[in-house]
Amino acid sequence: MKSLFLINRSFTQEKLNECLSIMSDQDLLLFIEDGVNNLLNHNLSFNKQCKAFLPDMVLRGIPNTVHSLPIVNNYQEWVDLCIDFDKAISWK
Amino acid sequence: MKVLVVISSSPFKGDKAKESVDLSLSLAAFDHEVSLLFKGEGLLCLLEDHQPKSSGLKDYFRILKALDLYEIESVYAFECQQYPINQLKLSQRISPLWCTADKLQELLASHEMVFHL
Repeated sequence: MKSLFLINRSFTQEKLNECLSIMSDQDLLLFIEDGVNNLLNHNLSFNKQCKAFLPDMVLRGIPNTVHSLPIVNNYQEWVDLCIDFDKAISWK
Repeated sequence: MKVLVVISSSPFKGDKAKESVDLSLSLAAFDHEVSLLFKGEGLLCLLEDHQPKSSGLKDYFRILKALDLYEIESVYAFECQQYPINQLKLSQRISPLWCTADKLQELLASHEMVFHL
């Protein structure tokens, strides 16, 4: 079973580690809404598969220069991910 | 009255950032001496490349251009390691004075009223 984790707010490394620690290598973490603000944080490190949602980055003017994460370009790709993964988990 | 309005909410999470700006303009319109302080996620209000129209939203931060008209001249930004936005392209709408923790204490002490929504 593979899970799609969703983060929609700013996290500290400690809080992010909680999420990363329970992710398997098959899982994916997607930053959406204010979760894309985490892309500005030099202090965060991601040791699992992570992506960021482009429309939310564009809206907020958040560049992808710090972590250079792979991008989910639009809502269609997000829906495709939700279909491809067995479950979606919003991580608070 | 000297009033400090602190903006620490993300510009696109709820209405707190917008309401803080509206509050500042309203207070200034009634002749209060208003200062603005951006901190935490509120610093993201200062980024240049917001594109609200890309998500069908109104660009309400255009109103920041009007701060001068309302005689809001004291605008501060509190440095934050989590959001090192002074290394990014900042809005030309306002030029905040970057301040440290010492300056922040001074600011809080020098204003008669502080609003932090």
